Amino acid sequence: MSSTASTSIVSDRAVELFKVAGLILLVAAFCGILLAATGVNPFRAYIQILKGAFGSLNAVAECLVYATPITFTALSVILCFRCGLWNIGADGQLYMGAIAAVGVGFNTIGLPNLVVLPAMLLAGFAAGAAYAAIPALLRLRFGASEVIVTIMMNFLASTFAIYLISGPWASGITPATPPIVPAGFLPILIPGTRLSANILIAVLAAAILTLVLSSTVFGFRVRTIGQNIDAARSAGMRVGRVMFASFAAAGGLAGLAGFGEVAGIYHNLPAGLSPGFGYTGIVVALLAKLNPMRALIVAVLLGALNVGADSMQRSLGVPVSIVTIMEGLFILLILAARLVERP
Amino acid sequence: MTIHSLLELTFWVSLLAAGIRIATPLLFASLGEAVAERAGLLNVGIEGMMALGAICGFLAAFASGNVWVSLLAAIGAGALAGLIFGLLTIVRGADQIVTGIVLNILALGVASFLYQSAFASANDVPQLALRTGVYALPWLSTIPWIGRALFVQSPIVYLAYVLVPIFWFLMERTTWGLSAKAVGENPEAADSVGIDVWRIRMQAIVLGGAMAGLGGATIAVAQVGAYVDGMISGRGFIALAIVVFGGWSPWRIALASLFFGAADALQLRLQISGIGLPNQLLLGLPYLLTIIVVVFVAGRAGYPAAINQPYRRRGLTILPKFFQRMTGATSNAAPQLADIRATVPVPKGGNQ
Amino acid sequence: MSVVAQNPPARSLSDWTLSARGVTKRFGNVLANSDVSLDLHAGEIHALLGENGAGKSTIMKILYGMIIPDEGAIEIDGRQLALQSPSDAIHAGIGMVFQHFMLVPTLTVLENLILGTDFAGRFVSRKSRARRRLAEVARSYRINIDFDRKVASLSVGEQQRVEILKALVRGARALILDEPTAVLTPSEIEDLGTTLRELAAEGHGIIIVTHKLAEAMNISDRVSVMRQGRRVGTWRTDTISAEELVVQMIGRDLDEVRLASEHRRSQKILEVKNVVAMTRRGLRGLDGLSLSLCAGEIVGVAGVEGNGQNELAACLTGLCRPDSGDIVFEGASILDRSTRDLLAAGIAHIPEDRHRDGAVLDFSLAENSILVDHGSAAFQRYGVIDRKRVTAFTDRLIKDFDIRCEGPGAVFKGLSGGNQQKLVLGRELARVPKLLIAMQPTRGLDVGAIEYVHKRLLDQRAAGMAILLISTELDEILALSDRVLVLRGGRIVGAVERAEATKDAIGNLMLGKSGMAA
Repeated sequence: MSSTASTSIVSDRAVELFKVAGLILLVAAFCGILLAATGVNPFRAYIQILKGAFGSLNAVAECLVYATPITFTALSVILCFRCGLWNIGADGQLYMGAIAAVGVGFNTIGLPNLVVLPAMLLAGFAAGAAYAAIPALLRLRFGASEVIVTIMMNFLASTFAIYLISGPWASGITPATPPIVPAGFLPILIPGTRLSANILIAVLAAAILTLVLSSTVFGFRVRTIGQNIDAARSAGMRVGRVMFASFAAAGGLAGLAGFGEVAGIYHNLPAGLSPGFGYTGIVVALLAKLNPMRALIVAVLLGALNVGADSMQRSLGVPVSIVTIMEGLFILLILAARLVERP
Repeated sequence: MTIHSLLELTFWVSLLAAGIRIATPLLFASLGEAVAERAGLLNVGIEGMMALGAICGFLAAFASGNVWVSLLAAIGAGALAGLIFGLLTIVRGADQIVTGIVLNILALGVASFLYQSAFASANDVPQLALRTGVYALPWLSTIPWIGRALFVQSPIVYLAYVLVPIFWFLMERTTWGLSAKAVGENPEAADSVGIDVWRIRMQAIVLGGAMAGLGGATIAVAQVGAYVDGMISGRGFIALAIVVFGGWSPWRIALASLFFGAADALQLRLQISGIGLPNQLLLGLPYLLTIIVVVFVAGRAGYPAAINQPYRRRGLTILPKFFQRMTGATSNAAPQLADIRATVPVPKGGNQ
Repeated sequence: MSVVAQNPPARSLSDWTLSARGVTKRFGNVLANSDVSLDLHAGEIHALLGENGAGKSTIMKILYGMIIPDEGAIEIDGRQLALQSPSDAIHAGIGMVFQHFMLVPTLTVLENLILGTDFAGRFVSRKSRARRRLAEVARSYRINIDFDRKVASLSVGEQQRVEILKALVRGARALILDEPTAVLTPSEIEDLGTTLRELAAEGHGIIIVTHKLAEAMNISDRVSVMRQGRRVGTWRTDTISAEELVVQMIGRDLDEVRLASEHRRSQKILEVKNVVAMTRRGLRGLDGLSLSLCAGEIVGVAGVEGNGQNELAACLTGLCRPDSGDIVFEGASILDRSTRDLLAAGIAHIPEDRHRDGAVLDFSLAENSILVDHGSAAFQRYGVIDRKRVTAFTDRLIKDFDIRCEGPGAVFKGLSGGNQQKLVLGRELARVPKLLIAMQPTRGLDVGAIEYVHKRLLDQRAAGMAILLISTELDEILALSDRVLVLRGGRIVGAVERAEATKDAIGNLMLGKSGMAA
């Protein structure tokens, strides 16, 4: 049902990939110069990144582990953007999802073991959705800019998490809450690594989102509103309700990211749970051109970059922030080359 | 302090003084952002630009020992960041929100990288030895109560006092200001009377970036005396709210900044006093306030109509005039219909 | 502002010629102007006629420096101008008044007048300095506007006068007006004509770009016709007749206006009772409007743009709630029902701006064809869309309405205007509505497409559909309507049966000279 493509000798896709490859080289060269200026051999650094990312089973597992939460937040952003809304609040929704999951995870009074994990998942989704519902309501009722409100709510959520960790839910030992019950642990897929079934949930979520957007009535409404809100209104679509629903669902997806981190990795709620997963999710969503399945791939690539960077810092002492610079520079160049469309 | 100290005037005076101090970096960033928004540019990357200003100001202060050099360095860094934002959003038409977020990520990374590269070998956090000093203005500081709060401050605060009327003058009483307002509301109309939309927007965002850099440096150099990753902690985003709260007017923005500064100062005092409220509840206060403010003001004062809409004129070359002259694309021999300068309107009867 | 240096003036102030020579401009695949040559003399009013899409706007924007031509040149007295931007054109004495006014609504009249100039100073802006001189100029041209009012609060006619004044104070000798009468009432059109004739008498040269034949002939000294990107001819207005001009404009004779066959009026299907609706600006968009409509009839609502047409359509489709009064459809009030309910209950809507309200440009034809009915059982089950059925439905539409395209998967924006409108029309008709609200259904279409749409509407009328035709094109109203209602100032000021409907009768009602008082 989607539109037909243009024809030419060299396909548009090939040209695009060529441009992207060129930009990657450009970024690598520029950052290489930066590294050289601080006395590091850039080639050693880059090779160390690759070794660190793919050099062992554990490393590959870590790439997937990193990729999972940013896949969820990217899916959250994609759903919103398709509906014409900005979800800059994925970080905050992630925290609320994590808080809810942990809350269920050690307050499972009387719940049979089999139900704990699904309960945590549902709690995570619901908390994220509820937290997103607030800025959605404020936008729809009062016209308040969801950009500013969601950013503020990010800070509120992380502050609230710290409050819980330091206060009512303090464990006394680490800056984290006590652990959840073992029934709330997601099963590990590859023994000896941190890779849990979380990644499978992420893949499933991406697949479901793809189907919803392309083939359901709700998805049709979301896309119409995102493309042309006036036409949607004239056609009788209940714009406010659809926007609210998609924003809340997006919040739920981000909440799932929080659930995943709690159930899959930490098994408690640590301070500093999210080093900006929400914002990285925006980057992933853009690079994936708002396509859910592609977002998975981009997330894994970013995961590889970060895991490799950690290894590079450990063995060569190069600050990890060089990779942040590479990411940022790359996307800026992508924006400058107009390789992504305006949402 | 205790509950009783709320009744003492000295408490409020010292609160006002502290509020002004805390408000100053917010004010700098907000003044610049208001100008940028009036011209049609919404910059959510203020946070990153402030961080850049903080690190560049800190490094310059560390190296030179001079406050003003460090502020200049920060202004330069912020202006550069603003230039990049402008090139991407104005010339290449990228979405402003996305560009702002990406710039945040990049700027925070750059700041962190610079800091770690400069002090890789240091074992503890390097501190600035220099202090900006506090000066009492000769006659003004003797005004009872408010004189002590307003006019016994560091020179950077006095800079802020001076900048507010300057920004008001810029927007309301200069030709540039009028053009900027037009460009933000209806760029096509501005273009049709010969205003260079791109140039004005670039100038506005470079100014906005420079002011953000100044704000960041103020925090690092004048307040904390060191650089820490994440030290801006959301103030760049609060500036966005202050602009809305202040209705894009420099005077009201000053009041709004003071409001936030005072709230923050109050929170600090409550924290120290040990009055039984948990720390984090007070830390969250500015963010909550921002939400309330944005909801309250929304729908009344609106953003300029052309915000986040890149302006493109079909068929026109993108080269700036400089290159056009070089490539011979402009002829200097164009005849005119009449020797009328734009400043002399045509009198009725057509005799000239 | 402009890099163009000072130059010796043209031959004389009251005898110059501005011309375009061999101008060609392409936008992608579209050849907007093809070897166009045109000239304007001092003291003349030159009308440029042509249908929508003939290339008139393009050549005018080229004259004003907003668009750079691929080939050709703009000259004054034979010497070439280098126009890289409007400021170059302004400096050369060319001024333009756009169809969509180039005014900043939040600024005052004075601020809009001095925008982009140094009337008030180069850096510091001393408005009082500029005010005195500009007020003098305004007085001398008999344009009386309060300089301190915000432009947003002015009427359309007043805004246009500000635009003209804006061009004049910048030293415009040549004035280009793009569709100046599109949004004016007949009396404002007369005032404009007077002003223009005065300006011409003082040595200004004026080009009026329009698609309205009658106005062009009333006011101009010479008239040029453009068709499909070419200038097909220029004549002195007093040497050519309207019929010949029509032939030139469309390339063939217009068919005889079709007389609708006699119809039998059946029961009332829609009744609008004294509806009052405020616009966003707090003005009365609808001011006590009443009308009724029966099945099997076409009622045409005539009127100048901006007299309540948009508010009427919005109220009838549930997009806006009236502040008082009632609207009854098939015996039940629609006031509290949502757009979706009304559409499902048998109301269909062809919006005025099909790109904005009628379709999603980047969607495929199939997706656009189910824009309204995607939720019905015909196209979905349990919330999942049935692609096969949608494709089949779209195929049927393409066949029935002869839509030229590559298939249901083609992108909507790739179709021509006529085919786009056919899809929107087809989609609405396929829903077999009881009431169709058609706003400007043939705007922007070529003559062949217009005929097609008119024929389908008449067919549906014969089949018993009630059609409310809201249009600013009197010819269209006269060709299709059984009854004509005249809308002015938010209410119906007159009703004319088909037999008595003439342009004069309706025009008078629009002016308020006869029939019910406005």
